[in-house]
Amino acid sequence: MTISRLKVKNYRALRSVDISFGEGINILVGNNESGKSTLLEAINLALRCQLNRRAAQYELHTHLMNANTVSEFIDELRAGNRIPPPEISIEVFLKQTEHTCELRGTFNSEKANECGIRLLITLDESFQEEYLAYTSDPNSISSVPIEYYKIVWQSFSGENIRAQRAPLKLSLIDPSNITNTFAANRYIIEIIRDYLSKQQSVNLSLAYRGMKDEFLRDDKIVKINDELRLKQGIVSTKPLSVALDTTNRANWEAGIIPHLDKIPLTLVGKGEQNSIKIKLAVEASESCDILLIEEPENHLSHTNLGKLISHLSEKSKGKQVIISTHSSFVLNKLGIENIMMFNGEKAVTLNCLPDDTRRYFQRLPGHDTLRLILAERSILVEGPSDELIVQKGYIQQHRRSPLEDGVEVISVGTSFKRFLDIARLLKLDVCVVRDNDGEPARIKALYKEYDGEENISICIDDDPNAPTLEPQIAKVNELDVLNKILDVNCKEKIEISNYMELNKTKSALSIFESNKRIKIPEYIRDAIR
Amino acid sequence: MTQYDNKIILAAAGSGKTTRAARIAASDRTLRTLVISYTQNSKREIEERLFLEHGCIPSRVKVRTWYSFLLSHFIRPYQNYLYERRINSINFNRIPDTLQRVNKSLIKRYYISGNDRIWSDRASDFACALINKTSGLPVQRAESIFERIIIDEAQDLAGWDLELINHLLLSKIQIILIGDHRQAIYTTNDNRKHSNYRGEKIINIFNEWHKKRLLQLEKQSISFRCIQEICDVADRFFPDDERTVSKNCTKSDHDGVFLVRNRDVNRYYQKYRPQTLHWSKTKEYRVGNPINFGDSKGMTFHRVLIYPHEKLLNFIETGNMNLEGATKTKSYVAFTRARQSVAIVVPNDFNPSIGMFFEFEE
Repeated sequence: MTISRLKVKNYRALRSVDISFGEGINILVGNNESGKSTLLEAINLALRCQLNRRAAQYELHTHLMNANTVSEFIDELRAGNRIPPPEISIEVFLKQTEHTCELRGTFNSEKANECGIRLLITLDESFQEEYLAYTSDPNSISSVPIEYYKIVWQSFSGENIRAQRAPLKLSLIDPSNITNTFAANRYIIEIIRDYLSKQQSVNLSLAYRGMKDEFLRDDKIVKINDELRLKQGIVSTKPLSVALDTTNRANWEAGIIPHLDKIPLTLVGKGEQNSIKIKLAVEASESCDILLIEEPENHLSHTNLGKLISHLSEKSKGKQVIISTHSSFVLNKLGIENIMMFNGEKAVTLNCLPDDTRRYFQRLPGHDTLRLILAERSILVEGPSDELIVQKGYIQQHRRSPLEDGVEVISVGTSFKRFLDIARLLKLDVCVVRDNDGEPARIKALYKEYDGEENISICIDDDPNAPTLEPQIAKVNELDVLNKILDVNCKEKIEISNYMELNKTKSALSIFESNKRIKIPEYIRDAIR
Repeated sequence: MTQYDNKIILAAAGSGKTTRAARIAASDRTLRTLVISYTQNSKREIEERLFLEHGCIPSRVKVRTWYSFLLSHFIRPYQNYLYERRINSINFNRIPDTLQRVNKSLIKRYYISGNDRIWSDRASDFACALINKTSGLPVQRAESIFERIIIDEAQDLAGWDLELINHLLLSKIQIILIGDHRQAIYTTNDNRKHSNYRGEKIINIFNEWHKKRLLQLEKQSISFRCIQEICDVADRFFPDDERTVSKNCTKSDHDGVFLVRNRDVNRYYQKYRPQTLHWSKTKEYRVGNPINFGDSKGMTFHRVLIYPHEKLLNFIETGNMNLEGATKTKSYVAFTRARQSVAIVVPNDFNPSIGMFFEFEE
């Protein structure tokens, strides 16, 4: 069973999302605030009607509604416009199979004839009057009246879905959201329940109930109950006795705690708990159709992460996995071709790249692409000497290495445009630092097509007499400073410039390693910021 | 699968139609099968038979009532081609006279009642309108879900239901109808469409479908319930149909069809304890706890005692079959309830041409 597409409106950070998923592994990357976790949460909510692992109707709160949507709504009310209250809508489109064909219909925002499930959080019609009263004084309102909202959970064929009969199984692995012992325990119990076969869980349940009967037959308990029976007529006219709770409420889930090496799991160290949760969940996911995993790297040591990922790529054959990550390790292992760059609205894949660019990257070992994609910001340079000078300049200015700020400096040779195609597609923050080759106008014109891109800046100097890095450095620095750093004795700037050109990497390395400050050419400073 | 796999099984009263439906559903469990019944009661009965036949309801078999089938598969999935707000349920009340003559193009006024409920009498009409509007999307959807649909009590279909069945007969789904036109006493709706196929005349459309090669006709003229004497009298209501052969070989001390004089009714009732059946509730004196003819459909009793209505009495007297419509089909139903004996209450000075008087041995 496969999710082919997801549409979200007004759910938390996701104001308007429309993304397509592929079969197999989908790796979601994107900035911290882009809402990757919320996206996984939304899928889980729509397919299971659960929030924080509890029935969603008990977990509704005002902040589920997108903050901008709420403030626009309030603004409209204050302007005297009586608009209908906003609603949250999550639509999951599914590929048609024998199991999803009954979910086909046009009950979706596009009236498209598709298989799928939608979940709406919308004003309950029976609260119209209360809603009117609530909105009567718009100046006192600061949120939507979620108390008057209801959850509508339906297939695209308009059939209401009941929680016990959710049409597909999925597993959400998000250990970071487990905040207390109760939740942790529930989480594990749930995973164990998923992991057990039907027969095993029936056995467990029967054994648990059998144990309760055993309790009643115990001599000591029999005596106590005989004793209590004598109290008949004192506390009540009916006989009194004790027994273990055998109502449905008290099923095994409530009375059983998983143990690890004979220690209750809730008392085991947090790190180990997390790693067990993830591994168990992956095991349990065998019976699932869809696996959602949130940033597995956060909770695992490198070795365990490695094990988990190889386990995952084995076990996930024939299943759909949607995983969010910041780890280049995860990305590289699971295959860069499965990447989806999520920017809060859309997700783009490498398939959206121009053909020749895609082929270029497929030939390249994935590493530089990953650096570009995962970085907060990248500075693209031609070669190692440019890279060293940019690094030096960055450290001089910020007293930190670029990497500490999530800034990658990447040498790309002459392939600027390939990288810029990705940057443009994925809306990555990128600066290009490039020589003007003595023809600033012509070189600048090469990048004219990126003019409109807010996230791309091209840093090329205008001086045709300083065509490359070395004359640029010579131009802005005092001769004796450079002589000292490079341990030479040049008489003129042109001479030291030529020296540097001849000993490109060596000179750049000397400058980088020297504890003396140098002046950084302006076009490079533009890129350093 | 060709349309030749479609079939209608015309089965006499007491031939075990529901068992047959359950047996077909439980056979060939690889086929995704839907069994449709008319009422909640008959749905439960089919489910019980499935347990009897198979031990459980096979996972590929679903049992639904006609209206729940209409709503889930033929109305809701594409309803927004005609009506935007979700149709919540079905309104089984009679459509008020003020709405009888509404123009059909006023979708909401014509089809929908308060609270977004669709009028039951117009539900299959709406379904057919959607099929036309969407060029058959609901049928295609059903084709992806079901490979076989079995419809029990097919004689109760009427009006636009028959149009919908026509669409289904033309689909890739194998359709099996099971019914008995002689017991056509209710209809699933009260729509004027196809009123020429109302009641027992439903047989005409079955025959037309057969002629168009949309389905095969299969007759099952045996009764496991009634003894031969009862079958013979019941068959006289429908002289054009095949004779029913009884498979009930049980003998009791009182077997057959009898006329009981009014003055003997109390003694007769004391002696044989039959189930009393009458046309409808009345202030006149009746022995036992009488059940209306129509309500006795689907029931089985050891013996019945019938209070005939005037036309039925006339038939017993003259032997001329001039009953029609529900008086005829309901009488047939009443006669075919008993395993061993049917007694008819007649005036003390009655001159019958059917049956014989019951006489107490003094």
